[in-house]
Amino acid sequence: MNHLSPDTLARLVDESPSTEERGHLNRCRICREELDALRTQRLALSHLPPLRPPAGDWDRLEPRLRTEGLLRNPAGSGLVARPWLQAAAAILLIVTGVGLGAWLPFDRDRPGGGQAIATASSPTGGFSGETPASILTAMAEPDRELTLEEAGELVQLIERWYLQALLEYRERAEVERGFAPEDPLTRFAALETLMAASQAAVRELPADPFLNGLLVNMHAEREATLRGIQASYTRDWY
Amino acid sequence: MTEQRLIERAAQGDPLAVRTLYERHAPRVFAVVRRIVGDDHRAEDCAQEAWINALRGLSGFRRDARFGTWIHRIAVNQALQMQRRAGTRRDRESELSENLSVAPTRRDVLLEDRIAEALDRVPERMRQVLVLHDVEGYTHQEIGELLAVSPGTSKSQLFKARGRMRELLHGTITTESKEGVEA
Repeated sequence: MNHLSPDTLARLVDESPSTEERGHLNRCRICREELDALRTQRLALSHLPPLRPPAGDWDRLEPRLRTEGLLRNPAGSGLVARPWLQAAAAILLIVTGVGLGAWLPFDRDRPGGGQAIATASSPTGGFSGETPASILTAMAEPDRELTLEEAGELVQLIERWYLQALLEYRERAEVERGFAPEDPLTRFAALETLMAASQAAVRELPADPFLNGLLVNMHAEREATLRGIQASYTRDWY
Repeated sequence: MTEQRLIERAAQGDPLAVRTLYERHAPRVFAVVRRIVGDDHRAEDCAQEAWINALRGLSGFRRDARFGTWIHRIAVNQALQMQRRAGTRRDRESELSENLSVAPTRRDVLLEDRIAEALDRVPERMRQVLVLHDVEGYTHQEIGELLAVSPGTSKSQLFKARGRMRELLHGTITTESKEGVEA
């Protein structure tokens, strides 16, 4: 018996057979099985998954996009013109700082300190091509939505930036001033910023116990600092 | 953020918007160019060119169109152009390597590996048609326009490509494999 040709079988994957071809398929198990296999192959091809680009693909693409002028440079991204965003950044920093405070290696001789610094200095998140300013600016869009994964990645990245900045600041303060600055007015100004941020956060989530606790503590700290400044001025005045 | 807003911001050069579009669509873009050009390095170059071309033309993107479909078409064109420019017809008729099992299997991942490897060995023109039709769902009319051939030629190439794939996958895909594919 002559079998159906390979081209005919390939055609019958998505076309109806003629009467003659149907008759042959009814009689010939080999052609029937071959056609079934071709249909399975077609199905498998249509189910092939997307493929992730090779690792580092974005890192190679990004500079090309900047060279082509297709990506804005992060500088002058408008962060300064958004006071509430500064406040949001501030609250993010303090929330992060609360968590970091428990393990931050302020004592250089403390075992494990070097390891923490090394980890923090090599951010590898998917947002690694962005700067803090550009990400915060983009997030200022009212309808900006992050996936859970993106949000988690962002928190990790900002934690790393925060830690790196803090470590850098401490290094410079120690070298240039010999100790960390304790200016009460500077501290009061910083607390004012954080107060505004924590108030904004509580307005967003009025029932959140952590944010409320943060606001109460912030308020108490601000009042204590203010009393200290007033007392200092009173002493100086006389 | 809606896709339309994202595109508007990306058109203004917003780095995060561009990155977000990239994260959403890069796997499909890379997949189609990889399967058409049949080579990792060239596929990476090709995908990058596709992204650059797409972002250059973003201001002219029709707002009622789907960005995914649009960049997919750009990527396909880029891959076909790259192959035309290179003018290479590398010999892909070699047999499949021996390091993969030739036994029929119901595991999707293994089947996908076999199919991917076989695809790379189908002659270039046949592979283009096979990928565009059977993987990406283009019609013969659309393929004819992309490749500057008649729909009949597209069909003929497709049938030959299916036959060649069948030879390359002999022993891998049987009627028993169907269950694994559909799983």
